Amino acid sequence: MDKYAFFLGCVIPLRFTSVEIAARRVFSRLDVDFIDLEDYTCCPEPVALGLADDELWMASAARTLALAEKAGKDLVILCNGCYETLIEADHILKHNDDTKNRVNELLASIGSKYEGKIKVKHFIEFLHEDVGLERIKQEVTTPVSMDLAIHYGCHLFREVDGDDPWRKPGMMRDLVEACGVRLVDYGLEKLCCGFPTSLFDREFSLKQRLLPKFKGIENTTTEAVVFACPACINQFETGQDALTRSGVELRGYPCIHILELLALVFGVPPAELSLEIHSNAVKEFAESFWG
Amino acid sequence: MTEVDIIALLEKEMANKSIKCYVVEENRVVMEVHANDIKAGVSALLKEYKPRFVTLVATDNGLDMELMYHFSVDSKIVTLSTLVPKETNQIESITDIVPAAEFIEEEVSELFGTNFEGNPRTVNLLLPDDWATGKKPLSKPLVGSLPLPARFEIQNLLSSGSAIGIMKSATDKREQAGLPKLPPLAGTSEDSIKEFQEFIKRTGFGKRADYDWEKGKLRYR
Repeated sequence: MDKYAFFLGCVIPLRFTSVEIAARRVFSRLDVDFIDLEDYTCCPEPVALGLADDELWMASAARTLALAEKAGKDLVILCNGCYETLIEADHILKHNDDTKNRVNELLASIGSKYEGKIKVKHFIEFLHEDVGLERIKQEVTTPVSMDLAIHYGCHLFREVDGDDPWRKPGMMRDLVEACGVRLVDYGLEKLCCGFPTSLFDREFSLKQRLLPKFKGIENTTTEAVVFACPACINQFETGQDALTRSGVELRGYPCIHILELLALVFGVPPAELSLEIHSNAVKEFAESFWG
Repeated sequence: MTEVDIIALLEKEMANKSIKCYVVEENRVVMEVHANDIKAGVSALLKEYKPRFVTLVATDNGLDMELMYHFSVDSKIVTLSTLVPKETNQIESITDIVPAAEFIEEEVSELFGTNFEGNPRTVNLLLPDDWATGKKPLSKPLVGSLPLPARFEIQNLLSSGSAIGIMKSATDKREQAGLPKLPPLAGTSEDSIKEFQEFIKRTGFGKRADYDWEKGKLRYR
């Protein structure tokens, strides 16, 4: 298999170390030959920062893409937000010569250049397309035969070439089911968790976005929720606490990243994943099925 | 005397200063000058002509006080325009060379809080004597172009390469988990982050967003 460069982003390595540990264990187990992209910066975040200053956003993203090109590696992105930024910047640069020329003038000042030679992939599509479901299933030693729901995260629906927006969410469903999970639908999978709006109006994000999702999930037999996005996990975990403190009665759910779930079903003991980083009961949930 | 003559004089007298002179319209000349050089600019006018001080107009533009000193020179209006950063909000008084500026400097001081260093007036002109110190009726908060939710993340991005702060608890967790203390961010190498900052400077971000590269922060955060 070709070598890949992993783009870790900021939130995973600095807040959800457990996801980084899980990613390294999962990809090693799957014999993926990867390097870490060195000297990278924040993607930057596509909503607040992308809207705040388009030039800063594009220049930073282009620098990262040029770093991967220089290393000669396709980029595999571990974070939904980073994926949105880098796939969109890559798409703009590949289709808009004016922007590309302007960016390359900037990049020339640091001896760099964007040529559009590499692919940018979300780790979900990388696992599904490049590794393959059958290969993944071969590594499942401790399947989770439990009812779980999915929160995909808005950026997982991002497609730049007119493909079906459900392409990657569908892949995520396949991957979660490959873990032995019984998937439970609650009807509000596409609703945003509220994280981007939390930057502007926390109450709206909690009561108009997060709360309806929780209420939908509570009507099912779900025992935990699976994510592909660290920002969404943060919103769910901190939002559960905030809603409970404000008097809302919630059942509360462990919020587990799909890479953590894969590591667990591949046989990595919960104690080796630093799951206590989560503010809710992810570690206890993991131990309940891991034994 | 023409507008061109006035500009030629100002450019000659202020040859070692950073200024920008131009004709706005017939009988209107503007010289933009650094706040530290405002008195030198006024002195240049006084040296050759006998200007009449018309007034001082002050505008709070969010980040800076814009001060426009209007003079009448042989029926032409010559305006010396300068910006005073609101963080310090201080400029040298011109009252020792233009005594007529005393009242208007005091008025601006009372309404906007600008300190005209050297203005001799010690009692209020417009506001009641018992007006609360520090309460300036026309002063606005420091306001810049970036929305509040983006400011902290952008400062982090430019100082460390990461949009979220690098906290010791996070680096400790990484070490405990057997990972390198820091991920391979540009911020972990001084050369890399400097290169990144120089790169971003070239986008014009500093000017657009009023980012203070020396202090490493937005002026209005």
